[in-house]
Amino acid sequence: MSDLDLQCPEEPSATGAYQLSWDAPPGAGVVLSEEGDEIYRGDDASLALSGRREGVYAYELEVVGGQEETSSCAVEVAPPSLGTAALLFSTGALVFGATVALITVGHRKSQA
Amino acid sequence: LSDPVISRELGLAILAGFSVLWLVLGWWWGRGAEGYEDRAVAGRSVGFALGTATAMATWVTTNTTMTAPQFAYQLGVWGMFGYSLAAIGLIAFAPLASRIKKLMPRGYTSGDFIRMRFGGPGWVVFLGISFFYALGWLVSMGMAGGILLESLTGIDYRVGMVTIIVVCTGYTMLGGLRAVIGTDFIQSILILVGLVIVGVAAFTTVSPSDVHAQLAEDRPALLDLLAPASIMFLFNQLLFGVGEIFHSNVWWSRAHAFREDVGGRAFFWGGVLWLPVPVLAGSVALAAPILGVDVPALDMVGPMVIGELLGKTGAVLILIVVISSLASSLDSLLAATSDLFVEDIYRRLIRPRASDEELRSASLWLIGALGLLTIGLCWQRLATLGEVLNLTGAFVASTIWPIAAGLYYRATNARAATAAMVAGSAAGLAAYFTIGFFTAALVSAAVSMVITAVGSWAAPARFDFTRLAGEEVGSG
Repeated sequence: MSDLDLQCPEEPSATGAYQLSWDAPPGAGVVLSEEGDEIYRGDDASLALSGRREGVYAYELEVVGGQEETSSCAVEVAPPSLGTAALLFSTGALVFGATVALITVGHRKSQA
Repeated sequence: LSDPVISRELGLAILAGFSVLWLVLGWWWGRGAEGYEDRAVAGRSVGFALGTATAMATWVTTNTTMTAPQFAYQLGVWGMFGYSLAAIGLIAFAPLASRIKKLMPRGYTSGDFIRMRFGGPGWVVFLGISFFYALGWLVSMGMAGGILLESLTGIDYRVGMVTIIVVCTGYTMLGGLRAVIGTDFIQSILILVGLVIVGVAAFTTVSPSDVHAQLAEDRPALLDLLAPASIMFLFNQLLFGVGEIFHSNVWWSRAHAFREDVGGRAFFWGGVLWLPVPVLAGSVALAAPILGVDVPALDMVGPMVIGELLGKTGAVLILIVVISSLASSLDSLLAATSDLFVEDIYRRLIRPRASDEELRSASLWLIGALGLLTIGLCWQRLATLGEVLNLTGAFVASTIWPIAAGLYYRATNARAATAAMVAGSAAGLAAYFTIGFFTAALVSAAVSMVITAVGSWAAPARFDFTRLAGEEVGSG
């Protein structure tokens, strides 16, 4: 069984933010790459990323100065459609406006 | 994990110092309390300054100081500003607080109102929602305390979490709501002063334009004002905050505890003072990329960036701010939730003729039991703070319309209100799991609004509001 194991979230990320975690040999430093670019070097066991746009991101983990062994996985970023977002935003504005009106009218009537 | 900024010994010393301070103050303020009414609603005589401070401090939770940075890091600028919209909850509750005090001058809990206004079925549904929310909030705060201490000082998560919960439980048992409101006043000052120092120091260390330039290059999605998840988050967060405040006995107990002319003003100014807090706390998270801070978990971004920005002094400061914000909310929730149990279950269902001493004793036992239950639920760190918190949004947002309409309009139909809470919660949960956490409260509130409005229009009730004042609630 391998000593190096990189784990990505199984479900697609709707926000573009997610956490990668890994198992590595005790005390070993690791290098994490995203699409071939190094994004982390150190001895933590996880990394939280954010601000990723829609797409699939491939990650690879290797031990600093170790064997050529690597572990890899991928994350899909799949935000909701802008149409769904606009619909829910409008719904939220409507509910908030109606709630303010409900309280304002009720308060005025109760003061009369 | 990354090396802690503060030594374990210094962290333990700060924790011990504040623990002793809160316990002594709890005992000091609680020693004059006479009977259950004094413990539960602080003699119904809290003034404007204490009222505003307790409203603001209680609403500045560890979720504000730790989850606001998480949302900023996760959702960008809308995450930060969206979180601050939760202030609307306090401001919108201001007129309701005056109305509650006027309608129920002898009331104790939000459960009292729901039972008298909507009857048994609505009361049962409401208590289920209230207890689930209270446990979710308690667990998210207990976890936040443990996570913060571990990330800043290296103190083991469980040691920090247990210490903070035991201390808050202890001084709430000693002093009841008087101690809670008194310590909130001191905690609110510590929180405001600490956050202002952190904010000023942070933006003199890293310029906002550099932060913006780095984000635009590395993480442009965080600056995208049309990012779908962030757009949905805005009103979701607003309605979540409104739902949390409208239904929770934490706020109803304060409405009952404040003097008659104080409630409306105290909640309004508490909300205004609270508004900039999530922006101050959240904005520092956006500096993580330019500072090269590697964040191992989303909910650790706030303390890690502040530790990196301000070093040991900043870390000590943020430790004090978060310990204060955690204590100011945890104590309120313990006191208010135990009152809900005492009033709505012990006195209503178990011992209707309980004496004042029996109510007081039940309250003490329940606060202790809630503290232990919270420790048990926090023992395994199961989810991120945001996940724990947002799941409860599906439930609490369903209570907004039943409560607001029920307080002001006699036509509000009890069956419609009950159905609105059930259907709203179910729809909110469905949205949480099918679309995302950032839609649960929004969908729940929308469904509940439609059912309350349509049901009350189709079959209007003729509720007599004088019934709320007529019944001697909680007199023992």
